[in-house]
Amino acid sequence: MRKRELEKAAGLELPEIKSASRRFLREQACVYVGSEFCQNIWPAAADVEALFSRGARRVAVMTSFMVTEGLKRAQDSLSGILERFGNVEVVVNDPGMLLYLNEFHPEVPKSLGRLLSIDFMRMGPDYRREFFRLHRLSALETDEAGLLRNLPAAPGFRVHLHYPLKYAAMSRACPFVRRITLRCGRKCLGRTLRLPVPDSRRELFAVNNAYFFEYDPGTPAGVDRLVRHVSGA
Amino acid sequence: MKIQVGIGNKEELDFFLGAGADELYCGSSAVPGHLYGGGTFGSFRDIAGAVELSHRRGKKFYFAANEIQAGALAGTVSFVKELAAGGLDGVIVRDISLLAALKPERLPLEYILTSLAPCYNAGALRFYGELGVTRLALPEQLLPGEAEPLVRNGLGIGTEMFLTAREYCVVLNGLCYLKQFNGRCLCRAEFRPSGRKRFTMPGPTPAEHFGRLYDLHRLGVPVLKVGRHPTKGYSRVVFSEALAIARLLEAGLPRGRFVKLALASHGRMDDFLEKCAREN
Repeated sequence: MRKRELEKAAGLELPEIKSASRRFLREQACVYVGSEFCQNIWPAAADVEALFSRGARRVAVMTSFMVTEGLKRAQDSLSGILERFGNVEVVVNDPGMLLYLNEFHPEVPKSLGRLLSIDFMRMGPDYRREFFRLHRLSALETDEAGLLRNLPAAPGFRVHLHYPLKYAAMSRACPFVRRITLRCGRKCLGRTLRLPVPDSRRELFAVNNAYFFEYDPGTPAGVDRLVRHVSGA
Repeated sequence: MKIQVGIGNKEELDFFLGAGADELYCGSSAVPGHLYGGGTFGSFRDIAGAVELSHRRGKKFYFAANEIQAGALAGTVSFVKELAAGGLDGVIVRDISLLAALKPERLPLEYILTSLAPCYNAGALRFYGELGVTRLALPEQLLPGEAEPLVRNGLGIGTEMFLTAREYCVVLNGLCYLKQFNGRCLCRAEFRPSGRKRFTMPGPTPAEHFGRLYDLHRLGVPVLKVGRHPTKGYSRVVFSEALAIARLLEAGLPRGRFVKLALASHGRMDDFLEKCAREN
């Protein structure tokens, strides 16, 4: 069996784009920006341009669940990015975004994001394979190292493992602005709340509108890309 | 407005049929389902009997298969087909692979997409509509203005909503893995970060819940939903509150007046629940 070559990639929060060194960006197989959890966080075309002009080889735009207005906003922004830049892939967590990309940008590489992939990693293999084929998904993003054993050795798509934060929960009511809003001023960027869990030695990390705990992925088998998030998720 | 209630046993079935529920649903231990401790019917015969009894009273009965089916997919499809042959009115589903497996069977069923599914926009509803969904249980964390394209969807897909003032998850229900820390639901916990003031996960106030309910009713959501609950009697109290709230909604009150009266009713139910908890 062909040994899978493990790519190293990085996730950057939007404010980190300008401070990331050229060397760092060149070293990554792919740079992830945006958010799989908050529809208010997505890169502008200028952010993507900054990444490519400073050495990034490939950019993955992460997208989340979206309400109708949020989806329209993301589609407009994403269209601008996809029309200007090659070497861009999109992480999809919203079925509406999936349909949109299939219809208007069918050639763009897409991966199934962490919010949807949890279910697909627990699903039977036959429909999962068919779903990926039907919707032209080339990869699955996950932070569920423990569920990797559910996938066959050759699942028919790439597997990208995110760390050091593992998803635990999310809310549309953002912990930083404390309400549901499409206009939050992105007050969460660059901030992480560390929340000691009662009766436990562990901590919960609040990043954007989601909650995570820290984990060590080790050296898991069956992974094509390791995505290390510098400070976000 | 119709009231839909989840049941866990024959006793609850008899009670809610007599109390005025318009639609009922249950799960089964034979099929993966998402519930926080509420009971499930054990056998096919129990559920088939519940369907028949409900129909004799002019009510609809649904079956909840609202979890990822994985290795249970084929068995779930067979189970649902048998229930459909026995007159089941609909099935509540989360798993896309289950929807895809049921679609070619062309069963005469309502396919209700659970509120746990990521259906927050009109495009997502179209995605699920193509898989056969005929009704959407609105996600709890959707504001009325955001829900409008889903309620008035032009696809013929109906909607229902939870009485969120009484049943609401502060985080997205169905995508919550907080219990793995200490076996308890952390979403209501008070955290004490070092050097910072206490933190709780934000959520709407009861007044905000009722305001949203009012607005969703005005948009045209016709079904108010009461979930299953592990504590005996709790869902009866929630159902009583749902009846009261439905009457207020149908009275055509101004929004502020509705919220005020709904809060008063809610407060009375809180007192009653506290009293029951003390006595037990």
